[in-house]
Amino acid sequence: MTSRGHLLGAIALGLSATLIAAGCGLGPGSQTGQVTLVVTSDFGDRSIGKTSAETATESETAMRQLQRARTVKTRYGGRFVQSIDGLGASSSSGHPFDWFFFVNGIESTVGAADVTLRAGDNIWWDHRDWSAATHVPAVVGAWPHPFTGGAEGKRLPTRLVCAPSSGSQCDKVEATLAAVGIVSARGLPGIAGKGSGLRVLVGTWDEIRADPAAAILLGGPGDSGVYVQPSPHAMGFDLLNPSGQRGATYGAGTGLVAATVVGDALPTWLVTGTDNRGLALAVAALNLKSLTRRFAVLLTAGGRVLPAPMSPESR
Amino acid sequence: MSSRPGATALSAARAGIAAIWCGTLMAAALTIDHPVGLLALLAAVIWAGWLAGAGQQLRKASRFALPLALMVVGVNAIVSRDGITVVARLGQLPALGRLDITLEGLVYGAVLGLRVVLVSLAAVLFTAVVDQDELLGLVRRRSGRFGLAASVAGRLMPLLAADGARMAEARKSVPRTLAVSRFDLVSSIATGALDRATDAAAALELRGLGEGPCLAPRTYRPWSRHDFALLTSSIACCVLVTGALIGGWVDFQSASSIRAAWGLGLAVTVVVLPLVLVAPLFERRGVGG
Repeated sequence: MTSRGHLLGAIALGLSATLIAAGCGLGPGSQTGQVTLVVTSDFGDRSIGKTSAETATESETAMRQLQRARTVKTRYGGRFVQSIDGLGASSSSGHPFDWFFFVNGIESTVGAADVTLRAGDNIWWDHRDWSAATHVPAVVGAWPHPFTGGAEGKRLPTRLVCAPSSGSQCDKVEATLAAVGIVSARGLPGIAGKGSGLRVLVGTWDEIRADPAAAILLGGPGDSGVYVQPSPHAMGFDLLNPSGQRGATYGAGTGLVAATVVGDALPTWLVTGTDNRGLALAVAALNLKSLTRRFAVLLTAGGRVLPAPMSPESR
Repeated sequence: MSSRPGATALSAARAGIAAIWCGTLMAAALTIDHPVGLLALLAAVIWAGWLAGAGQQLRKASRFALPLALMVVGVNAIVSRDGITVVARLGQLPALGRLDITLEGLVYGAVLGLRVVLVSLAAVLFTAVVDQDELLGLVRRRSGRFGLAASVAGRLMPLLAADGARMAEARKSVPRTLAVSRFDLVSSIATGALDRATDAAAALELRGLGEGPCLAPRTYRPWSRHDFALLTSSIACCVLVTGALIGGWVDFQSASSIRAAWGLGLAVTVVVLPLVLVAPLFERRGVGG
């Protein structure tokens, strides 16, 4: 072989190595693991088709997973969803409806075609009224995500932020997280900086209300993405309807499990109550049965688990 | 690229009718999505071009249209995020993000490319066989200025082609050391296009083309068998394509996955469509040349 041949061979070899290192290759790539797809409407209230789980490949995106399972129309060159199973962006009684999706309980900020799926990911598409909240940055309905799945394939550190008097309830939350394989560190309320990982804020409302992630609830769903607000008149929580209007007020002994985001930080879960009784209900609700397919839940003194925003059944 | 009056039924017919026939061909190319249907139309264009003696022009045009079609296929494969069948993973690119080439993206790009070729060739056929002067005369009766603009547009391509041929000829006579490159030649023709358009417009103005609608009385010209045949062919093509679309015979979609209609309806469409379009061109009676 001539020196020119050697040079060309070396260039070809180097180029191939670079392409392989950059994740290039032919075909869909090797299998990575199971991914789950949930499609609902009205804030998870109505299920559209069955929840499906399939084995993903290296090249699987949220869009391809959806296109494989459902009849999908796209827009902007296949980057965004126009309709799923014939249900698309619409307007009803002046309320706009559209599709939004969560990856492991965290709202995606990019189009579905740009979300690469990893083993264990939970993708939840919901067709909802977005008149009150354009963005719902995080939801609790993918439990035990995002604690187990994290974001972009990386498990995120979890910090348990406990109010001073919530010791025993905090221990229970820690044990619940440990049961799903999460080792959490403990911290104090009031710190919600960028890159500090996922936070679980545990305490009665009065104890945690000064934390930025709790205080954001006062701004309503437009700010927090949570359709529950602390009642301005009495100790309790106002459960809002999808339009962001107050539906009902729940007083003493009410618990709340919700998730929100402050600025560009990672999500903070609020496990709180109007009092210790409400807090205990909230802590006890950290399970699949209470949280699955819910944006947030309100636990009443009577033992009811109410989805937030208010569903037609709870009106 | 100038018309050859009298060479075929297309040029023997009145220009308006021939233009309708070519327009129908282009409309069908833009309406049908099924690649087999588009291939049938492509066959019709090539067949018609060959019968009309415009094979040379079509061959020349395809040298431009085919690379353009390949570019469309390539760009669509890169830009489109549709499709579930990944054939190649190109990793993360700075401006484009994650880039996967899908079979569906390639197929849709191929359909678009085929359409580009078809429309280009149909336009070349139109330029080659339809009497542009008669057609512009029709337009001029409605609007003088529009007629002038259309005249300039219609004459510019042959004018630039002639310029290019002359310059290429001159290039051959220059010694190899001084020879200008092909790029310089194209650049010179392209940059001179505006000047040539102004020249053409000035010449047409001098002939009174911009003086408003033509007031000369229309001369009665009886409808020929070619007029009837081409009009019937156009109507039949419209009916067939509309029926095929309504009947779902030429359904094709490649957004998320490739789904195409295959059956008797498609077979009938792809066989009958070229025949319906080309049939009038077999009539040679009354055709000069």
